[in-house]
Amino acid sequence: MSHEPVPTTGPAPSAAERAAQLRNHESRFLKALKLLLETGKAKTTDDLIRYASQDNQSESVNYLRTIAGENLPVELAFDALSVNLRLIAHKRNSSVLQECLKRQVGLVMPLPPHVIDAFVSLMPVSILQPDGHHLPHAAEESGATLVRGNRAAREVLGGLNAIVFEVFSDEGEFLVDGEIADLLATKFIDAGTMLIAHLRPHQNPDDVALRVAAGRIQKI
Amino acid sequence: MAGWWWPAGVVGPWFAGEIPVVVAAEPGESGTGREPGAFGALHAPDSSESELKPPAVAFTAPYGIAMLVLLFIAFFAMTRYDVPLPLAMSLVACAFLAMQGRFAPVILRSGFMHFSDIAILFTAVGIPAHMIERSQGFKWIAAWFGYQFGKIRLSRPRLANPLLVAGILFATWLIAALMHNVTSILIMTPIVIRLCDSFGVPSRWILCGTLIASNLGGFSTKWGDTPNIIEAATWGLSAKDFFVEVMPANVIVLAGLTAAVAWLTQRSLARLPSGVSPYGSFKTIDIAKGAAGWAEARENIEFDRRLFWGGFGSLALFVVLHVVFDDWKICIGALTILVAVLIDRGPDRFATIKSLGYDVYLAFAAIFVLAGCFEHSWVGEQLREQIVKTGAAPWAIAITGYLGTMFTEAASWATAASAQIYGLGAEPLSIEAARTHAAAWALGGGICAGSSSLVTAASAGIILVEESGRFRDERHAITFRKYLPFGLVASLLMLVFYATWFTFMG
Repeated sequence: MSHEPVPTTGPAPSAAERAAQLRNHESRFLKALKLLLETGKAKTTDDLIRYASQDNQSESVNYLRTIAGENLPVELAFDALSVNLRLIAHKRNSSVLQECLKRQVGLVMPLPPHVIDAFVSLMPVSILQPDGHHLPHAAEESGATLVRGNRAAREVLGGLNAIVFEVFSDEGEFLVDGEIADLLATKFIDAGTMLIAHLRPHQNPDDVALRVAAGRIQKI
Repeated sequence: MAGWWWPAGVVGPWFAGEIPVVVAAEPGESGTGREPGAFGALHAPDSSESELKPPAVAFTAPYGIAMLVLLFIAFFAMTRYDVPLPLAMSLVACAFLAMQGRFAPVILRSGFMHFSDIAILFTAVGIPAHMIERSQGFKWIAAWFGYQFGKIRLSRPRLANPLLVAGILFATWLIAALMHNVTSILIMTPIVIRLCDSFGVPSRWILCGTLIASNLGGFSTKWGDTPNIIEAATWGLSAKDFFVEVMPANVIVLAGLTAAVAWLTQRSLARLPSGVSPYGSFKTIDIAKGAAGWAEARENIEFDRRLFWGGFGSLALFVVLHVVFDDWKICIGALTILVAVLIDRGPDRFATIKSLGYDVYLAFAAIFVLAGCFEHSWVGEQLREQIVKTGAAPWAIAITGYLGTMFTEAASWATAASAQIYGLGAEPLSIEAARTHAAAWALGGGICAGSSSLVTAASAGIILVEESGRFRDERHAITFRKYLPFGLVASLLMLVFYATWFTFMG
């Protein structure tokens, strides 16, 4: 008697799976190192250490130092560092997503599609569209609750306990769009609310400093 | 001024940016020799209107000065108090119409008849341009360019900055030529600042250069800038005429501009110690991270291919067909609008057909009314006298255009000369030079140079000041003073070039 495979719907994606798809902020540093390798600027592991040190990447510097004595080819040292950083990022992002499963999550636009996908596919979320911001198709078609406009967004904020938004990091200071800074003013947000920031690569014209203690912000 | 165009996106403000004060032919006047398409020929007044004449007071100095003062007040209100341009221009147009008394309906109808062509043609460019902008296509291309530039900066540092300057100025010129110079500045300013910030390149000279590149692009095509539209209508110029007779001159100026901006940028960098950029310490890892940031930005963009290719295809269709079949331009424009709107997604179609926004149409209508009012006034007469004295020589037209543009808001004042200059070819003066293309190009060249002289001389300059000042880092902000030395030198060189080129080419 043969057993025919029974067609089943696939299991719901786990936080770990989604975390793997979520691009992390370490990836920019890794891409930069890869470019330095490709253009011949970094030829040895010591060069990698020097560049990591110039970028204040202390974890990477420590890791590279531990393997520097093994006389590995520079490409291999880079691969090892890459795997190490990606593991760290994956564990952190998995844990953030896992924690969000227990919370009421709000995504404040704009956010890149991969961030929206990661949250929307895992949990019911509210997508907040501040005034003057475009709602991406990924968000519109996601089936999430859409909250349009600052006034409506403020009303919803009080009921959320995890808020995901985009920031630009400038020498330790977090900059956000002016409209979003207004929304994230502490009077609207509970002290226990998780603030999760996706780091964007460039500054926008209307960016202002985010008046929230840097320690409260969890980078992904 | 930023507020009034945002609802319609960055392509909204376009042609409302300047105040062409062009002039209608004498309504009801026979034998002016106007070609079809000239401003006045579009209006065939009925017998009762043909008996109407502008009030005699309109040809007195106090009346003309009062008109200029009103225009200046509007300009001052726009720059100093952020009064939206369509509001200011509409109010001035209403004031001018009121000053015309019983003659007002004649001017109003002439202006609106000319406006009808423009409404179709610019909507045909505006809708596809807006679709490209919404597709995030410009950002995607900028991100690709940023990444490639970063790689070149790492592997061939000497080549990198001249390439960056050339790439930015060419892109600004191209966008202005295909769309409009105001649109070009709106799109390019934040991109330039982010690129310079990412790679530690001083932005001052490049941003100054983009203003001139956008004026050059605008002057290269029939639809690239408001004065061109007026000149095209007055002289009956086709898109092909612009392509063949003006674009080569502008490409030469663009090449010279690129060399000058690259040299100034390189000189600024050479004055800084090694490892330092205008924005602080800057190391090799920062260049690599800058490039990686652009790669990441490209991955984060939700690029809408359907919108991009739909918009790009419609725009290309319009540009090519318009150049080849100028007589069919309204038909081609209407077809482009139809195709572009149908390509867009169902729920977005209504918003798409409104891409340019009511503000733009309002400003356009006001501009054509202003033009008619200036024609029938002391201002128009004065201008005509000055040009007559030189026999409508291209150099004289170019200088008039330069000074007129420099000392009023934009190409506006100089554009006022279009129909006046063209009208000199008619009886009784019959100055043939006034009817040649060289006269039109000289006027356009003077306006283009004048628009590049001061940031306040054209709307694109005002927008450059606003947009560059929105970034937190003041070092990117272009102010009147920062632009002044560059603008004066560059614009005077442009004026000399255009005056010479069009005198000999004519």
